Amino acid sequence: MKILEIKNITKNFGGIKAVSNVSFDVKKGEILSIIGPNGAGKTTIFNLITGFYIPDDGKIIFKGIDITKIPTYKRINLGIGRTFQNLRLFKSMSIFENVLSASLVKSEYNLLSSITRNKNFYLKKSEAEHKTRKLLEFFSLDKKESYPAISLPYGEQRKLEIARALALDPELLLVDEPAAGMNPSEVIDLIDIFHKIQETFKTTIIIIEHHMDFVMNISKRIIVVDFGEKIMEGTPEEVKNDKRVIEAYLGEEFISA
Amino acid sequence: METLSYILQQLINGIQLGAVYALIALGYTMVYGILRMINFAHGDVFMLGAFFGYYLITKLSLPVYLVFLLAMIGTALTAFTIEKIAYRPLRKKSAPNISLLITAVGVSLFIEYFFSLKILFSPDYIAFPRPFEVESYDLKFFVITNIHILIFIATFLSLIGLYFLIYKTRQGKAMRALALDAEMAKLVGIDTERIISFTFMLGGALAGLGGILYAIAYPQINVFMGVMPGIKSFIAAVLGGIGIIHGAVLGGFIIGISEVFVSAFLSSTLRDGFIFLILFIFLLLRPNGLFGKRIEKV
Amino acid sequence: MRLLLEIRKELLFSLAIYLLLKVFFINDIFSEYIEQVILYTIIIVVASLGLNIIYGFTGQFSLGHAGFYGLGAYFSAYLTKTFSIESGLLFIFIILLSGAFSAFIAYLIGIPILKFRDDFLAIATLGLGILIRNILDNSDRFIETLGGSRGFVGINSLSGLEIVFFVSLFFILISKNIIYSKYGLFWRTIRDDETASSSIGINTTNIKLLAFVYGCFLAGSAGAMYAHLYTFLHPSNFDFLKSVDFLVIVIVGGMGSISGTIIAGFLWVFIIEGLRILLPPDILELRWVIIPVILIIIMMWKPYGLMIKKKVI
Ligand SMILES: Nc1ncnc2c1ncn2[C@@H]1O[C@H](COP(=O)(O)OP(=O)(O)OP(=O)(O)O)[C@@H](O)[C@H]1O
Ligand SMILES: [Mg+2]
Repeated sequence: MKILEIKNITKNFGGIKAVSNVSFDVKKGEILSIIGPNGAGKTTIFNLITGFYIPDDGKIIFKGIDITKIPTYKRINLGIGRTFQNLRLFKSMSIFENVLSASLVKSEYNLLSSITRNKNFYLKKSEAEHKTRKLLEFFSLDKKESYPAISLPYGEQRKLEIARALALDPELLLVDEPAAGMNPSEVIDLIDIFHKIQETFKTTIIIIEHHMDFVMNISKRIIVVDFGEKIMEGTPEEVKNDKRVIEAYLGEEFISA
Repeated sequence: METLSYILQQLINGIQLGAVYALIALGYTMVYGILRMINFAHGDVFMLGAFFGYYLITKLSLPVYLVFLLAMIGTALTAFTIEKIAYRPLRKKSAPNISLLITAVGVSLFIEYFFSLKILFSPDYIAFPRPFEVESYDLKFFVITNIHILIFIATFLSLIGLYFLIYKTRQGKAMRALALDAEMAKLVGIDTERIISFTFMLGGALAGLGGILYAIAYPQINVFMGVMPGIKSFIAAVLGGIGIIHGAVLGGFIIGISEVFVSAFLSSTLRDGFIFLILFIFLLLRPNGLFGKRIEKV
Repeated sequence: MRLLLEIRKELLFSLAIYLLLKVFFINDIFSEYIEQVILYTIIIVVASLGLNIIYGFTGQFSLGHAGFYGLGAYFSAYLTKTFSIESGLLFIFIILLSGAFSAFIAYLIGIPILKFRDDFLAIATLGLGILIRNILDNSDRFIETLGGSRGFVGINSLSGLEIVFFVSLFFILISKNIIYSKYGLFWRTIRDDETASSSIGINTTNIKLLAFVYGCFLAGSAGAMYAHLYTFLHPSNFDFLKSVDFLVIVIVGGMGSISGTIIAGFLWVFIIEGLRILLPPDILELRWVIIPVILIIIMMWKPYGLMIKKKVI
């Protein structure tokens, strides 16, 4: 079963071909990795899927629905969650509020019930708070829930951002370089976390990552992009031994943790 | 025939006003280009230019070229000081844009009300003595005065000078590098603080020139005279695509000509409101201005 | 019921203040001037709360708030004058209607201009303020009663202690409930990071619009109360400096703080009015020299604004 179909998408910025004619499918329940050198267009692919950019050409189909041109919030509410390469937490807010905000997005009460504070308001409020607590427990952040989000060490901020995305109950989770800035033991933890996420939430995951070990460990299928183009797709073994991939990375710092 | 010559006459007047707006707009656009901030006090630097000119003419009775030169140096130094005292400390704290803008609003109000004190310029309108007699030449279809000619020539020369500065000198190259990518500019060893000061001074000098020219054309000066021209010139810079030099010049002329035409053919009391209407409609159609193009990076 | 339970402290506290004021007002302990200043302050607090929701909570910088305050004032005065309204109950209805009028205009204008970010929004709202001022200045051309640049005279005096106090209390409590709901939380996420907010599925356009429209509703309602307190309106009461007034109250009181806005509003009006009594008019002009300096110093000292609501351990 395909959950996401990317069909020949292209995105130019002025003269730069950030993404050109890229196609791939994502199967429900899998963990897919996208790798490629700096500036290859990986993040742009995520921005196209989530609607921060609109492709110049091509189609994006999610759960059979054409989402190529619909606004970001609608796509997210169809079941897509994402994190950002440069961390985008709500900086003035607590850890709890960061996740709560996402838990409340689908909470069904309206302006009138927030003014009158009717039964439904309190019910939905406690539901969202309960969900938030459970997610924070899952990521072992519950002890610090009232701390400001930015007081967390970098690695935990990354986890918090994933927790926030999961509060949307996404069917598809896009994670942009989750291991960046983490030390080796944190990276090993992170691998476990993703396996656990997949088991617990049955989420399909796409990960952009530079850490080769991480990628090899976590996904059975890898897509390699270079200069905006998809240069190959295959198992970790195939990718590791592919000439084009080695060429693409030649001269690039090829981090292997 | 008569309406045609009336239209032509208004066009000449519009170009005259537009030239002044262009001079002010350049300062906005250069500062925005490198700092991404609206220097709200820029219109008041323009006002100071007119007042410096007034004192140089009445108190020192200097020759015209010295009046221009000294007033421009005066406004350049004012702009330099504003940047150094009010904006730089905030930048050092990497304050959000809005804090810089609020500070700039504060600086603007401060300049206006400080100089409107009775012991300084006072809040009254003051007649500006023109440093030369007005002469007009009837060119059959329209009348042109030596004021028109002075403004056209002065604007033209300063634009050429500015282009030379920006595209041919090291300072100018550094400015452009800074506008393109501040981090990169620092890495290649550009003294960014100095370039920022330089940009403010350049903008200040042009606004000062605009101030005297404006006072010569419309010889009534007042401490609040910079407010509306300031805002309109900013709008001009936005129309042209903020950060883009030739855009600011074109925007200035568009606003100046529109304003004169609205006053002449519609209603002079509604002209300020009308300029904003132009801005709203324009921004709806082209959010990045005439020449701008930028997609925010996520 | 739970609602009453939740706000019982605020209610009791406000009732106590009301009774205190009532005793003072009945026994003429304050001069009429002071009474007016007290009511005026409450009105200013309501309008400032509106700006705090737009800017302090949601981060949408507006330099045209006084315009919406003015729209509400003129709209209400026009209605009460045309229909010779003198009953308090009807006046309350007019207040709400005037708020709704400002909100409606804000809605129409908000759709296009809220697309802009920070400084561009500032210029757009500044322009809007000037446009509204420009229209008010020329208002007598299309509706004679409005008076244009001569001012709007002969408005009924309807803003008494009860109406001003309880209507404002009502607005403050409603605002509090909205702020402490998902809507208030979304306002704050947008202030912190608009991109991240849309990445969690918030319809940022709508939520920003809600803040803008509601904030302008408060401004318009406050304007209506103002019009019927001083019974005279002039376009210059609603110019750029008035918008700066609101801005200073929001910044001094703390962006995103209701109680801060209330305290700062009182401090602000009392300092300005106090200076008006204490200082000779010449020196009074100095206040607009001092106010910007205060603003600049606050910005240098706390560039992120005073007392941003932050849960710190
Ligand atoms: N909004 C934008 N405006 C202009 N150029 C952009 C924009 N977004 C991306 N680009 C350009 O598109 C290209 C691809 O960028 P992208 O961020 O997708 O690369 P990436 O593969 O994620 O790289 P990295 O590993 O460094 O994160 C780069 O050249 C980048 O500069
Ligand atoms: Mg990237």
